[in-house]
Amino acid sequence: MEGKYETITKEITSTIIRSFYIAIDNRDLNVFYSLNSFLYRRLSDNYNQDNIGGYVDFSAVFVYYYEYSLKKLNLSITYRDIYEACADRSTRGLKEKLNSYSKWGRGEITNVHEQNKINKYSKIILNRFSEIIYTSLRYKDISHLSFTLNQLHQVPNAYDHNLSNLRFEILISKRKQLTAEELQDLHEKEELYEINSYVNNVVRILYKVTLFWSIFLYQTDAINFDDLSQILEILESYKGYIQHDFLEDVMILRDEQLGGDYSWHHWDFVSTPKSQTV
Amino acid sequence: MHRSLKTDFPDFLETSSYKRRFLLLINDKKGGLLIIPLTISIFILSQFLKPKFLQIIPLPFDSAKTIIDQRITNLAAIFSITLVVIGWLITNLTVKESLSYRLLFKSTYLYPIFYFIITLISCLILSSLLRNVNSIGLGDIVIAGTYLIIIALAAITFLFVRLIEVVGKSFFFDNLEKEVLFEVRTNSLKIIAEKVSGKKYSEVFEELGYIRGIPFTADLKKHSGIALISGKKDKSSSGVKPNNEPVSILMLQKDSYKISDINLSRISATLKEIKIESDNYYLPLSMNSKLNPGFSPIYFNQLSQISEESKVKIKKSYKLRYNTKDDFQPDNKTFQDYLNEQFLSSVKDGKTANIERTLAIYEKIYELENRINTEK
Repeated sequence: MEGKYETITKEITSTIIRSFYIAIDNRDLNVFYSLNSFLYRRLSDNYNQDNIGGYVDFSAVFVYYYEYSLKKLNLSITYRDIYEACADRSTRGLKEKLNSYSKWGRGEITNVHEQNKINKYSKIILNRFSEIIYTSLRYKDISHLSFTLNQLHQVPNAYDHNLSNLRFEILISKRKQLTAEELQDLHEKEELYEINSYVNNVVRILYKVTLFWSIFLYQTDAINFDDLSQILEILESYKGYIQHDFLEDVMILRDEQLGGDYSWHHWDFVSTPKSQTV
Repeated sequence: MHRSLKTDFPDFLETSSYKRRFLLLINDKKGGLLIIPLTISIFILSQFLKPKFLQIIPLPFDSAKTIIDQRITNLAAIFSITLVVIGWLITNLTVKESLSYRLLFKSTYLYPIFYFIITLISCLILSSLLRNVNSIGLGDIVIAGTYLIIIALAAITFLFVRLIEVVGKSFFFDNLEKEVLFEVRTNSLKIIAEKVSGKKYSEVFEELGYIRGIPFTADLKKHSGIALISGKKDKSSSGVKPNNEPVSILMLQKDSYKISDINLSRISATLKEIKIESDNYYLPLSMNSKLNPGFSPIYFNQLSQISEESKVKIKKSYKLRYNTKDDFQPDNKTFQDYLNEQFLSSVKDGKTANIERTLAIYEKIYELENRINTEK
């Protein structure tokens, strides 16, 4: 019937995911790096070809191999090398993908149509970020949590002066008496700002969620006080993200149906797996 | 629908020349058998048609008698030596996999050459047996046989040259890539056919204002469809369900059919003729869709207004095929599976060069998939 087609690359994708696991099993850094660069190429190809299915499949591989190597490390310290490579490349890869889409204030603000496409893909990557944060909290990999939050800090384009100019323009024109035409213009500007600051908003929410979730985990005795204080110490440096628009974001978190939105349907554990050595 | 596919996707379909198609056909365990009647027919032709090129060299009966035995001995000797050398080369093959043997047989044309020489020898033996039958022009047979022996020698030379190339390792990988891409292209053709045909089929009905889906159960009393396959396999009935009987579509039965082709232009022409007002329904279909008995692709508002003739026309537009055993078998993925296996084992052994090579092939396949996704 119409609508559901087989793909010719289904088996290849699963072969590649398996090959990552094998490379981690063998602690083979060379193979891991060449596979990882293939992964990068696939992601950029899928982005250029606007193939969202492939993008979802391949971006998940970052999380898979991070989690797999973390599990291996928990079994034996000999996996330290490959774990470090995996942890580093997974988060860094996600960050690089996100950064390659933003202009950092160079040139004009991206128009609504193009930015919509970017947001569509950014959302997938931000979901992967959230999964990595979740995984490192779940296995109490706090050093990597710190690294991830640091990489996440480099993602938002808050330094984009064009974007902040736009924000001020909106704020100023809101105070004036506006004609119908100007009102229309204002709405357009607001939409543009809204769409362009999508990544910034989500990043802010991700920091807040990390804070709330770790406090919740402490309350349910999933993590102890030392872990919590370490996490709080890390988050201390990103106070800005937590304080900024605090109430608004809390309202978003409370009100909206976010189940599938930031991969938060995964955030459901209340106790960490037992085999912990780290 | 097959015709429109051919114009839209020329490079996915086989558009090769007859010569290439012939070579592909005979280069197979079963297809090679075609060589046997061909060779025999040359001998028979030499008897009855007496072509001129056989008459250039005059050969008296007596010398033909002695020559034929010598030729058989020569050919048998050459052939046996060839077999020994081939066996020796195959044992020295670098990549010893069942697939590499298959590739080897394919690229050296071993099967057709083997069949050719065997047939040649047996034909010559037969004619030497019949040498005392007067009605046979032995001279013609010997000369035709000699020409064929020279062709056989050329074929054996070709075989050796190819074989030496094949034994090396790089040949195997180069050909593996070719074979994998060929396989993927063939498999993707099926996907393209389903996708494109489904789209075109829906377009025809959308144009005429038909509603997609099945009418609600409440409406079933009013609507009725034309069953393509009648439920009881009763050919005499017209296949039209009585008005008040609900048609079950999800009925699973053993004898299911499959759409092999749809004549879209005929359907649209017939439907335009019918001119029933709105509120007709259609179900999306595509090539290779599986159908159960009692399935109706179209539900009409007032079936009684349609003439028997148009009903038959609509029914005949769908070419159905009984689901054979082959249809349940998955796609042919031998080479692709082998490539995946090879890839995993080289990941295990840490052979970076092999990995990069395979990844390059993978990238080509992804590119191919992207073309399928983007084109229409």
